[in-house]
Amino acid sequence: MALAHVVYQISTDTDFATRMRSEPEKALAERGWHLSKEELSFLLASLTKKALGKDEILVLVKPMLRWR
Amino acid sequence: MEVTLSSSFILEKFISILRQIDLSWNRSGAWQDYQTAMRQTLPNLEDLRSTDFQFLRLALLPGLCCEGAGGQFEWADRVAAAWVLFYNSAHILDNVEDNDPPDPCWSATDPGVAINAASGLIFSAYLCLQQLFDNHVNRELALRIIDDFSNTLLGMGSGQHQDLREPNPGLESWLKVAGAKSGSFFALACRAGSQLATDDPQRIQSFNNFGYHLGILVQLLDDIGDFKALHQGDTPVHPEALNRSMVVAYALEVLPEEQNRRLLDTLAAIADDPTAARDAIYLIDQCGAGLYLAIEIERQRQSGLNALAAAAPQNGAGEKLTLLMTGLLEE
Repeated sequence: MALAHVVYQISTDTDFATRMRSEPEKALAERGWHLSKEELSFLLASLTKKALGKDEILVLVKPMLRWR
Repeated sequence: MEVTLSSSFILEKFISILRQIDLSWNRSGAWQDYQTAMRQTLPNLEDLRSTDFQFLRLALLPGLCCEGAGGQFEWADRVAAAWVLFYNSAHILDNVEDNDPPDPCWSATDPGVAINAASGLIFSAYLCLQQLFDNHVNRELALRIIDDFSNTLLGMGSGQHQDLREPNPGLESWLKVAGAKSGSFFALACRAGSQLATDDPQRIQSFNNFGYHLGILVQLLDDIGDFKALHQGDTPVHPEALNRSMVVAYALEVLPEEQNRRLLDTLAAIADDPTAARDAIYLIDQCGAGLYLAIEIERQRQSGLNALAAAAPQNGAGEKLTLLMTGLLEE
């Protein structure tokens, strides 16, 4: 679950977050982390939402279903 | 021509599914009062809320996948009726087993009556599946679909068993349980629907995969919905349900030990401490849970849409299934 640890680092370490936006592969390699192409692509796309402040848990989606 | 999933289209199709359920009850030995109790667990078409409409849309999955595979929507009415009945039964049983606040579909009664109604829904669902033998479906396919329902439901029961025995799942376990419960159940709706129209294994598998990702997506949104309800303070939320959500699974996986303990303590205090909800949400937002969930939502949405494209749906059903999935995410 490397993706979870990368996301945590982005959320708690401003320098790492900045590097992930400019040189993601290098930033990951320095930490010894590897993400699949798919994971990296979704992460980078979602970072835009974070930059716009749209990543808070309560603004993610509308409440909708009664299913568990 | 623009394809939509209008309220009138959804209602028309759902009424047709309800007709199959009524047909099975009329042929059954269920007393009128018991039929009423079971009927009350289904959406009241006279008084629909937006959440009910989401449920009605999902009930169209077998019909749309049948249509997409080259058949007619109505061919899947019996499968859809069974799926809806199993859906409601599982929902009620889950609600009682998890000790969650009673869902509106049974809150007017007590848990014993609700469990009895849920049991009746299971038997009714099998009556609907038995009706597959009455129409154009060949005997071998009907048997295969009934077998598929039974095996899938046993898999869901296994997922629920693990869920109940694991109060704080990790991310890997969360995905496994969500896949066994929600993912496989939605996959069943799409697989069974498409099988009524095609015997091409690759297309059936692609419809199956679309349903699987849709099911995981539904579970993710349900988890987030719990936190929204918690924050708004308008619904009593049990900490057990929050502890089993992907949101908390993520947080516990990445937070240092001290904050891990603080989060668990905060969640445990929700019922008694009005500030605990705010503290829990603060902790969760700080560790990037929102970003992680956004990535996972996008991953499931994209994987689902890729699977749908691979199924090469016909008759405009692909656009409707796309709307059904993306409609869960957009206001």
